Amino acid sequence: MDLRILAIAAKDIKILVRDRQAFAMLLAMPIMLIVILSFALQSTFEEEPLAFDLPVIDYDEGAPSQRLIELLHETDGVTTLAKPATTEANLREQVRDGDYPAALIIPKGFAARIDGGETAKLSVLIDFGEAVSGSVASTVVDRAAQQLIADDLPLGRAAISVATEGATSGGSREPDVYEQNVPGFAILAGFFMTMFVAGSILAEKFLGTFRRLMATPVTRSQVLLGKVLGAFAVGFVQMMLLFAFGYVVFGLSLGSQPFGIVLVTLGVVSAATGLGVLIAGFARTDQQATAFGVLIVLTMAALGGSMVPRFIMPDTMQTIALITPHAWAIDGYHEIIVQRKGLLSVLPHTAALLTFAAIFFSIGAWCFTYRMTPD
Amino acid sequence: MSDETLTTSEQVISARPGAAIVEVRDLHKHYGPFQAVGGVTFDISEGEIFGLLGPNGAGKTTTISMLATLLPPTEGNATIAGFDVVRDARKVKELIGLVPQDIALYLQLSARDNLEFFGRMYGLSGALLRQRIEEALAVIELGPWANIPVGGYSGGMMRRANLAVGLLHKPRVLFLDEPTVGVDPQSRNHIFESILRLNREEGVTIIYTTHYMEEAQSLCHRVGIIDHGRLIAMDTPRNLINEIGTGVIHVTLEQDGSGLVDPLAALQPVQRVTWNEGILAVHTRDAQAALVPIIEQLNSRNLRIVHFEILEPNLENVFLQLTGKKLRE
Repeated sequence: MDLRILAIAAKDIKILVRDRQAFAMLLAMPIMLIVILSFALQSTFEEEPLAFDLPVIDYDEGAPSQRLIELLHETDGVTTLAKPATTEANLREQVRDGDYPAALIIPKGFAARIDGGETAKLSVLIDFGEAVSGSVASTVVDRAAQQLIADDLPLGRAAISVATEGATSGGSREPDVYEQNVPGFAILAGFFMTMFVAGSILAEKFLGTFRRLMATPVTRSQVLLGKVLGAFAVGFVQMMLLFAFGYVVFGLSLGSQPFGIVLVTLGVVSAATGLGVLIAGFARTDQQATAFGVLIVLTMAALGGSMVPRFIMPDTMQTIALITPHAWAIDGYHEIIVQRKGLLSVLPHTAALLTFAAIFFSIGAWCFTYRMTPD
Repeated sequence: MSDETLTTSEQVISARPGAAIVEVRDLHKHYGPFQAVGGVTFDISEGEIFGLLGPNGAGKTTTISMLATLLPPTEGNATIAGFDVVRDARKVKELIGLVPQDIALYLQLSARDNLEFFGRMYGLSGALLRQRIEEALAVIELGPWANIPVGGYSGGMMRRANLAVGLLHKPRVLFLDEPTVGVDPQSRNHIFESILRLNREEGVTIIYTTHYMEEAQSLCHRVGIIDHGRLIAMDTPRNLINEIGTGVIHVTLEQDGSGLVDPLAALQPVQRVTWNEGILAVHTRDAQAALVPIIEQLNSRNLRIVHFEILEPNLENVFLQLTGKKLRE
């Protein structure tokens, strides 16, 4: 990487980090929005109390397994189907198809291993498409197993481990309040970087530093790339911190492939910085850039599902929303966080975001070259 | 110009300029029908302090911008150390330093941070960059303020920091565009001393634009006077004053002196006469020659003289003579 570009990026980062208003806008404000709106809207997103059927295939049919099934049956909301008229293969298929959120397999030798003081294993099949139910089922089985050990087995002689096996039904569920608000407001905040990029480019012109830079052996392209790189780095760290906040404070799941979140974030920050260059290309003053930026960013956030979940919008609106990078971004995050899909599932969303970035940046860079003169 | 020691009205400048380092030939800059610079031609010798004088909007900054590769000329050409400012712009940028008229610094960063950043733009790094930063800071003597954000500086300190950035890479040619505008006398003196030291000790060629004539008169080996985009005179300040300068005699009277305007204007060494607020201002071709006839006229009318003063001819008068207007108009 060109050292001059890195120096320009480092200088912009230093200026931004020292700017308390920027800190408030980029981190404090989205955190406040996430906290307040998540608590305020919790009931809107809440589902009915969870109740589900839990098919059990008991290959052992010993006393401990029978007691375990009884304990499970006594758990609120759980109806055990102790002798389902099916094979394990069929049951796996039914879970995969979403017929059951979970199923329990008690392997042969379960009682013998307990008697022998070894660790006995249980398998819980869950549908990753019904992640919450699956997770609850796994927890319920684990608690019942611990209770079995505590109440009915000789102290300290045996242990039971519960392994979870996943299957994906292909069905989808809607996000809970944190799964909606954390990525939603992270995207909104990520796009606030737009104003900083535009303001920073225009400030160079009005401070006279662009004129001075142009008298040094640095090119316009290096200046522009340095500014974009600095904003990109800050935007990326900002969004990752917001996801970390969601993970630590609200227990937000990062899905089975957290790197998918990184991929989508790279796309979001690229689109946001590209939009900043575009606004700088059209605005004549810092104030104009801020006014344009706020208007565009808030409109796109509202339309794109950052502030209001898209699933409650009419179908037409949901389709129209796809003209915004925000909609692609939030869909991408939900693929990982809510639907627990793999990396491949976010590639179209990342590609769409990078396309937005390329269009914004190309037009903005053309305007920059045409309009940013050092005289 | 000769390379002998030059004497100005206020001080002696001992730099010994050498061969031409800046060559400007018929340089034009047009913005549509508006002609900002209309064909200037001049040479500047290595080690010279050259003043480009003119009122606001005369074309000084546009000329400097073309020489500093910031603006392409519409016509004509210019070279710095033999490198064309258009074709060899990158090479020229390595040889020049620009101290713009505005405070072109990042106000959130300290002077040291600004120096480090612009040093990197000139390709400096590591120990060399640190050394150059210390040298530049030593020139402007900011002391502990060097580590405080520039936004908290006084106007004079900002100007000094603005100057330091232009010195970092030890340029052979330094463009100073109105470097003392809005500066307190102490900082102004400091900037003057820094400029003279750079010129004397490091042989830096300095191109200095200003509309303060007294600055040009005390600092510059030669000055070019520019008006409406054209260079209308160029020589040492002393020669310009000697050739076309005038002496002005101010006479303060107790009585009304308006009746003296026409008789005095008719005297042979007198150019023009004004009466304003009790003061008779007599502009002469030769103040000494005009002295006796003026006093005779006053005595013949029995007018009581309160104050009598002969003003030293200066560049301000030269500019007035050449353009018919004052520099700050």
